[in-house]
Amino acid sequence: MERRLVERAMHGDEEAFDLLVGRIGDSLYSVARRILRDTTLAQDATQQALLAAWRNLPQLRDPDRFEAWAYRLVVNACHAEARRERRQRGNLRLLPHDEPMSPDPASSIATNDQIDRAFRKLSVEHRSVVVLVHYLGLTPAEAAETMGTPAGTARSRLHYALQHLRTTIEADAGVTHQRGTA
Amino acid sequence: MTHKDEFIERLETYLDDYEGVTPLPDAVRDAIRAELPHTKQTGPLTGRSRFLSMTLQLPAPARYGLVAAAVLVAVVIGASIFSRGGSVGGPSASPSPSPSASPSPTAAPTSPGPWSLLDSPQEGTLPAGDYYLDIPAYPARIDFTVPEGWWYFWPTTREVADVHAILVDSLDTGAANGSAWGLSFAIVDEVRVDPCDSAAGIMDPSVTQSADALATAFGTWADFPATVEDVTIGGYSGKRVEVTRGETFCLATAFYTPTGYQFDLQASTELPAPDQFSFLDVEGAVLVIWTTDFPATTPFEEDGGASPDPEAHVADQVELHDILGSIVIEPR
Repeated sequence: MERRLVERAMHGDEEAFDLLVGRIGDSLYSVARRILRDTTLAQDATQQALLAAWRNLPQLRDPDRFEAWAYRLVVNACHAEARRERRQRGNLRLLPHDEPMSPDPASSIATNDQIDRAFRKLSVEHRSVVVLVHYLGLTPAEAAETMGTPAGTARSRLHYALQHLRTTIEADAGVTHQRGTA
Repeated sequence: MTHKDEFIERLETYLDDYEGVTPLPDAVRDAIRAELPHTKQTGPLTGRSRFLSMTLQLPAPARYGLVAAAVLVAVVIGASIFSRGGSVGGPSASPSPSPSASPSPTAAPTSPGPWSLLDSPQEGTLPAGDYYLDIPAYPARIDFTVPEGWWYFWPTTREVADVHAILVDSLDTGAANGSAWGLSFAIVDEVRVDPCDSAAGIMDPSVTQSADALATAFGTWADFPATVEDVTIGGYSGKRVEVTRGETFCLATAFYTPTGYQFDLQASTELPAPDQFSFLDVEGAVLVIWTTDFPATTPFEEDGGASPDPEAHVADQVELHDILGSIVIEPR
């Protein structure tokens, strides 16, 4: 990310900020979609994160940290959107639960469908650390910084999220296998 | 290649492929462009105001107001925060997740106090002494006494935190990540219908209105057998619910606090690691005191390298009871 662009945006240059949005918007949106798994919510989260970035840019101490800071804002915005959604929908189910599909006979490991079903069951907070580490490629320490948590928290979240995914997928595969052989 | 490697590889492929490459829609970019002229930038901050602002991780959309900003702060904090009792290199060496410019006093109490727990950085070793929490999040002031060897944490900026953990230091167990053993104060805002399934939603808000209602709500989780008994702490009565794990592992979240902190249950079925929640009716609200009153190493300690020990926390249980016995809840 060009430092000069960030500095211009920090001083109120809307055109510079628009260029920054062009360079980082797609990536932020990709992260939001993977965390929220809802296009509309992801768009809202990305928009709110970018507006928060604009509003608070003058407070950014190090322009070179703009990108990491923006990811932090979008993760926060995702969590806020998820919370708003919870409140609006109350005790209604937020996401459909798909029936297990046929396993991939060519593979003994998880299919995309199995991972998808398991991933949906994770909380937004746990999805976030998985996305940050296994999609963006951050280290757990970097993910912790992005989420604003201690490193141990991020490591713990990641550990349990992956454990949950494995366990859920194994259970799913067992059910699928039983159905397939019944 | 191991099964684990294959799994991670498959997971990463799944994440890469998820819905393909989709650029940020033009409508969103246009909406941002349209908003900029009407969105005033805040001025640069210095000193304490900078710390607070950065700790708050910058406010959410204005339309959600300050409460939403607080939500943003806390909701990002890891549910396993309570696993942190004692971290690698010692708690006092652990940097705050916030910028390093902490304005907080760091001097250890040298007199009996009481000291405000918030007159400290966000996390660290807690010198033995008398402490109190007197903040709007809680319905009354809470005083308590902590012996040596304990560690504290709250997950967000001091002004809005509604979870405060006092955990035994894990250095003696050899756990690198922390202990996850101790107690915490909290406020319940939303109770999960199913701790194992975030998609199941939240219970009706009425369940948070009294200790009885919360105890009943926590007793409805099919996969988490619960026992309920009467309890009195700090002069206030309520219900104490002990939740144990069923036979199936899941990543279980019990509730969210008003600032959005996600409160997880102990995450293992292989060890006797129940969660106890004391719900106290205090001045028209419900104060929660969470404890891990069991002797064995916690799942998190074992994850952190501690050897399983069914009596690892026997001595700590005595101290935990002492802390609970020292609690005084004073109406404002």
